[in-house]
Amino acid sequence: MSAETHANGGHSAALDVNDLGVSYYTSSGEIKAADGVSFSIMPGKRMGLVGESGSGKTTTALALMRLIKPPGRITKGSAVIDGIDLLSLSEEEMRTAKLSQIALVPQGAMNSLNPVAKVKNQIIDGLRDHDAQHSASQYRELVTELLDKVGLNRQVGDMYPHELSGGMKQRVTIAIAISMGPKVIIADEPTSALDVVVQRQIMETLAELQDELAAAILLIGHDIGLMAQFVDTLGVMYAGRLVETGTLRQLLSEPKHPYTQMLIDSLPSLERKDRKRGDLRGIPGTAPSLYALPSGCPFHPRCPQAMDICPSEEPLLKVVNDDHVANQGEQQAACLLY
Amino acid sequence: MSSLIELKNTSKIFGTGWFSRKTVALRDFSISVNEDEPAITALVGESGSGKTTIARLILGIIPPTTGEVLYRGKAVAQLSRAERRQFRRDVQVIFQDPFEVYNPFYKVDHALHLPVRKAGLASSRDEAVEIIETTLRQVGLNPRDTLGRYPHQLSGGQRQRVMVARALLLNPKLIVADEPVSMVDASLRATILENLRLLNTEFGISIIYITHDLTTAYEISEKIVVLYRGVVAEQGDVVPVVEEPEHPYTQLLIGSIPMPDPDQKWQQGLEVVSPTTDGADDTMNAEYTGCQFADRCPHAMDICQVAAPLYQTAPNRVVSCHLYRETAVV
Ligand SMILES: Nc1ncnc2c1ncn2[C@@H]1O[C@H](COP(=O)(O)OP(=O)(O)O)[C@@H](O)[C@H]1O
Ligand SMILES: Nc1ncnc2c1ncn2[C@@H]1O[C@H](COP(=O)(O)OP(=O)(O)O)[C@@H](O)[C@H]1O
Ligand SMILES: [Mg+2]
Ligand SMILES: [Mg+2]
Repeated sequence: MSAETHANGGHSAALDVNDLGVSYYTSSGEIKAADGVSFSIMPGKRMGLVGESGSGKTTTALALMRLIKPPGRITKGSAVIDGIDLLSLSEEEMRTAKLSQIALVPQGAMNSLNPVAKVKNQIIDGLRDHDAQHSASQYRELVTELLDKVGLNRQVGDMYPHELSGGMKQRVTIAIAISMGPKVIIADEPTSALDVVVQRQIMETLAELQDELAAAILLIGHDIGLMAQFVDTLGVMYAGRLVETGTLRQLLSEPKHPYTQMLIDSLPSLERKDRKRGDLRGIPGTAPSLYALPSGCPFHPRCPQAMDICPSEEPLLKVVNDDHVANQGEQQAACLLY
Repeated sequence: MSSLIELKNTSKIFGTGWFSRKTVALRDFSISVNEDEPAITALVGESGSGKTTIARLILGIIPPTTGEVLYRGKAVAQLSRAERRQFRRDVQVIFQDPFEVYNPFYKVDHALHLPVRKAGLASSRDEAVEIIETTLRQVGLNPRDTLGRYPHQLSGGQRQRVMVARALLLNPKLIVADEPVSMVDASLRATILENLRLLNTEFGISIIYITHDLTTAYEISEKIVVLYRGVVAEQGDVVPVVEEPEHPYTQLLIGSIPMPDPDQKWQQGLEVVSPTTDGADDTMNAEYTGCQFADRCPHAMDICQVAAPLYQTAPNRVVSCHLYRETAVV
């Protein structure tokens, strides 16, 4: 898919990830936290990445930013923006690519702002790392402009993190991320700690910024409702692998992978009309330990549709949508049922 | 009806912390937990709305600034030693992240033996083990898979269940669960909520379920209290409150829930606060006495400069909003 899209120049993906692998080497052995992850996002589009905690979402994000630290290592794959593979850049080249090509709002960022530095200085630090030096007044102007973009007034620049509400802090982390006008923005659970009203405001701001920058967004999270409000395409991760991808509508209305089916089925009753109040549905069993991944399909011990071959054969992503309507896009699942 | 715990017109004002001004964390709040009809009551509100403050008042961890906290009709501060011991057994708490409660260097057994010893539940070690094993089985855990292990060797779900077992050990009448599912995935969330419901239906324990997530409150509770900046916005049976919210804040909250349906987009035209002040507690200072929601409310009127009393809009329902001033005050 990626080769084709690249060939006809005009329609190439903003980000094209291929066969990404990341392992952590711990005293108890190797953990393949991301294994063969492939997806692409078109310019101006939004993709969601969902999965239980520990499924490798943050690892994938950090790998794209080249932020995997020992004992972790990127073991394979490529991540191409504008014809350049981020994963093969030198440290120095990557430093410039960061923020101007790809930027990350890290998981929990709003709670890791420096408590003793004013907001404006934290924004300037980000700029300084990546741009030519500006005069003090130029920096002041840039900060005001960035704050304005994320819906904060300029006085916020002179405040400390503890003086801000959660939503305001998250806006600051977004201002830092977009300061250099990236082509791809990754937001790792940007609203998980916020309530629904603030969440909605933050997502609306993120959408406006994306429009302005004509950027692509990768939104990481586990709230399917939020995804439905925001993304165009969706990827589902399980145990370090992408087990299903497709358009939002395909995955919501016709999930193919049994795990995706159960994920959708576990949505609370207030959010779906066909469910009685109090009818709680979880996914039985627990996520597998990555130290001792089940053989074959890693989901087979929890899968209600498991077959005899599932413990012995490892499924790969393949096209599964029945109707090949051109503009529907393709849906892929890694499941031996197909 | 005998009330186990009652908060009577309690307020909590925090003095001079980071700011040199007072923060009103809770204003004139009342709630009563009856032993005879154990129910699940949800306390819902955005962060900073006073939920944990209520939990701490109920648990007797902090005293109210004004108002009373009563345990079986008696002020908590005046309990005798024996009464206090009983109070500490009757009212238990389950925290957000069960990991925080465990010391990573001790086996989980430690977290279970401690309350048994403190409450003097067993006369010998064997008896203690027996009580613990029975309780673990009651919450669906196999003692052999659980005891003798370190916290990190258990799954998130198992750790949560051990927490529940720990709360259950002392045979409490009320469990306060402060955001027990806010950090977990959908699959685990259902399990934990199921456990809370089990504690209520099987063991007859009242539950105060604290959350910022209205959807889970709707799922398991019978009654709901919607808080906004330390004040009750709306309170009543969960189904009518969630399905036909009366307070403009409850309406905003429900309109902001992201629905997993691409054809049902976030309700348009909902008035929302300007981002520069979202959630910042400008009006939580002691001097302001108007409606807390007025600055964000699409229906704000002149009279909102004075806080609304609780209007009784239905037999089991109250709402603090002048829009309902035609109805009787509680
Ligand atoms: N620095 C690290 N060292 C060892 N293991 C790690 C490290 N970071 C993450 N992991 C492991 O990698 C797996 C994936 O984690 P993560 O990418 O954070 O998942 P998610 O974001 O989906 O919750 C987990 O099993 C986690 O324990
Ligand atoms: N110990 C304290 N000192 C000063 N202010 C506090 C303290 N505890 C809570 N507050 C303030 O009281 C308000 C309510 O807090 P809390 O009850 O923790 O809310 P919630 O649990 O709903 O997030 C917040 O504005 C908070 O900052
Ligand atoms: Mg993560
Ligand atoms: Mg709290």
